[in-house]
Amino acid sequence: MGKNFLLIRSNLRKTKGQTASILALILLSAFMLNIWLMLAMDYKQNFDRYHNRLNAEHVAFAINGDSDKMKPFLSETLEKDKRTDSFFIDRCLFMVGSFDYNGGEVNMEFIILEKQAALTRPIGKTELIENSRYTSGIYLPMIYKTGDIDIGKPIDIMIGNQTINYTVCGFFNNLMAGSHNCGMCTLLLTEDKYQELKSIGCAPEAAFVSVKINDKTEGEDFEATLKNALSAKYPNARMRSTSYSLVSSSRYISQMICSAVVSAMAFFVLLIALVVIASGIINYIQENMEKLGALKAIGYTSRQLTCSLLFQFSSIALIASSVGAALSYCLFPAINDMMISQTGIPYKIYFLPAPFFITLAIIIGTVAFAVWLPSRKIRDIDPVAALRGGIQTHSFKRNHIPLEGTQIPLQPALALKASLSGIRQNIIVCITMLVLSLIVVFSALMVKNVIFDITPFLNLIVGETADSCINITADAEDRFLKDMAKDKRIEKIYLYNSLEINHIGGTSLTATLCDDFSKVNNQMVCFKGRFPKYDNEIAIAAKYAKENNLEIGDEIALSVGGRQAGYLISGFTQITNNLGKDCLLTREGYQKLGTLQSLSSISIWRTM
Amino acid sequence: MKQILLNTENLSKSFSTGGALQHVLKNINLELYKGDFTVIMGASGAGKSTLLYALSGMDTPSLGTISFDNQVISDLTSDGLAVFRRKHCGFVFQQIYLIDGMSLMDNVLSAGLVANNDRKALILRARELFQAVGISEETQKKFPGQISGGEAQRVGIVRALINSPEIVFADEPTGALNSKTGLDVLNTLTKFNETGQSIVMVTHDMRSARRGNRILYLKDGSILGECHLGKYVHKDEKRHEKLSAFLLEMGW
Repeated sequence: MGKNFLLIRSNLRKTKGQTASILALILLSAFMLNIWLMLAMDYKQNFDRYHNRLNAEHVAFAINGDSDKMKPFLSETLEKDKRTDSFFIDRCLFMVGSFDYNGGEVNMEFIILEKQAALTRPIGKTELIENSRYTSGIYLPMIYKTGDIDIGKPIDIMIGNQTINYTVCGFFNNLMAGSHNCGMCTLLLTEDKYQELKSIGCAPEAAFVSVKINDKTEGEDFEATLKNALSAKYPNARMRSTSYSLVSSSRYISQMICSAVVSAMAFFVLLIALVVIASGIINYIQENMEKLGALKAIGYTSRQLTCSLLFQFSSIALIASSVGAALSYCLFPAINDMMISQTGIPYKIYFLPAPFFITLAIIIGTVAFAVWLPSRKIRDIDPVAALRGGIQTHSFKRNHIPLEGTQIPLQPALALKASLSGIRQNIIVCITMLVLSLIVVFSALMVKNVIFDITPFLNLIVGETADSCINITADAEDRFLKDMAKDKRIEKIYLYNSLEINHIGGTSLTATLCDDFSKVNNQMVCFKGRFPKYDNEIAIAAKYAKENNLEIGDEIALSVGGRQAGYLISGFTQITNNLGKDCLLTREGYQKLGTLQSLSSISIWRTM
Repeated sequence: MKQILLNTENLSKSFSTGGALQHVLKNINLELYKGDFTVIMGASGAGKSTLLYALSGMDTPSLGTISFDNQVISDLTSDGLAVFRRKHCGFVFQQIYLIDGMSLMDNVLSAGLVANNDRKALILRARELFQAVGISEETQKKFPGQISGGEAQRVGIVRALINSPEIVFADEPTGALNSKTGLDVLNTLTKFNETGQSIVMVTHDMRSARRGNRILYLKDGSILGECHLGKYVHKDEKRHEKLSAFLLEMGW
């Protein structure tokens, strides 16, 4: 150990600059790796911890109608299903609505509950995070707490076609319906405001059902079965549901994106550190061939010399990665705040030993490998050869480009000699440069596409980015389109609808309807086959197709409210929203299943 | 009767150069004795250094055997040879090869610790040796780049002796030094030989060769002859004449 320490100290004295850069790179890599592992290993588990604490449901659904009348059928259906563990049926008000939030607008289906009833539900409990002295008003999910939306401040909420002003009384957390990522969002009203809204009549009554099932992984199948049963019994009732897997994934989408980006960056930086280490060792061996030979001559074995390098770099890796991982706890509160603003679920930071030690293991392991690989060259150092001026002169290698016989001018000939005599090292340098170039180009593209021009990124995850998007009721549609047609500033205009349909033999799908898919801007959405063109065609998400072994040309049956029709699959889309349970239909195609009664989105592209 | 420390039987060494075999050492049968200061002389390319490296276990023979203290070392693996060298041999190189990033003391200790974990004993031994070669405590803390060539070679000798080896191999130890510093180095080697330290030295310098009590002359890979000069005595003219006559006879 003593002799290794002396060699390590000697090497460090000679390579202070290189050691500093390796320390910095490993520190940065460990910093990001630990953040990634904390996000990946514990952050999502926080959802489960909260799920248990609030005795949250695995499937939640709201169905318009009188809850008292529907209760017998709902209870019987749920009790009959062996997957059901327990359930709770309550009444609520259920309607599409919107309110201003963070410079934009939250527009979704609201489950409006009376505050006290919501707090005392045995399943799918609601937890008050902040309360106040205000006794009349609204409680909002914690995720919406901003400078503009805070206790005591007024808020305008559009429910159906009415805009109602409330005072914010507090904030709560509800796991399955506590954010715009859940598919539906709970709002709590004080008793007086609940009765007032009920009497206005803009939000119809509904049954709100929370179901716990024995195996949470069956949530989506359970949800689909339930919806089929309910749509058969109540074909005209509006319904909205959500399941454990959908909510747990969608509430943590930002965490997943963040951890993916951080992990990619961490591994890139680690790769650079490994390349620096490996090339440093190659240079060290080349430059110190004679001294290594002398050390071998006085009795050092190849293993001892390799071990001294392993000790040296493993110690650097251990120190830098420990500091880096520890420093990540300094930044984590800021990341946590950002994440909480996305997930809406509080997360308490504490020391996580597993990510810490995995970070150390990954870094020390890869560094040791990067040291061991080039260090094998030490085995080839013959002390006699090294003492006589290095391996190259002793192994009598070929005399590349002999000056006596070549016509090449002196300078290029010498350059070629040098290149060819160190051909292996030059190949390593080429590979290193190739990898570094890839990293630089990739990073530059990421910066361009995520920071400077995010259109490609948005096209990938959003699908369509019109200049304006206007929601309009079905009865006003024709008049509005005629008015728009007169406006010369408009380049193109098309209609979008989003609603739920059932895939018979599959699960419920979010269907996007369009009057003409050839008008949509992002034609890359459909990456295989083509968009639906005729009323008997459908394009489905590739993820869903793969899970259900569906191919282009297959026929699938869809149903809405008891009516069903068959469709040919015309293409696959890259949409991953709603866990990939997504499809595209023409408006004419949908008419085979039902009539469009709700709001349409009109996307407008302006001419410049 | 002198005790045999190292002996060879039919020692041969060949190298392949561009497909052609070059025989550097040819059937050398040799015995080296304990306490001797053996000098190997010969013209350039005679195989002096190759013989030294083979005898010291740094290189393996193509044919024949080498035994140290009746143990065959020519069959050992490279790791086995490394262990043999660290336990039994010391080396003084022409280019010295001290490690730049280490102080002189550390250079010596790095050679000591490879064979012996008793750091305190090694430090004491190193200090004794440094004192014996005239390197002060202040200088011991310096780095190789801060000392003269003569001092560096004396540190090289301390490094070679730190493990109290049975035999020290010196390859042209004064080859890179001027006459004054070279003389210091030779005096140091002579001083240690007088205490019973066995030394094998390769040189083509007559002044250096005069320090040995046994001179071997190598020509074209074979030992052409040997000369016994007896114990070294300063300014012994007869010794000089005897060596000159021997070398003349060998064709020097």
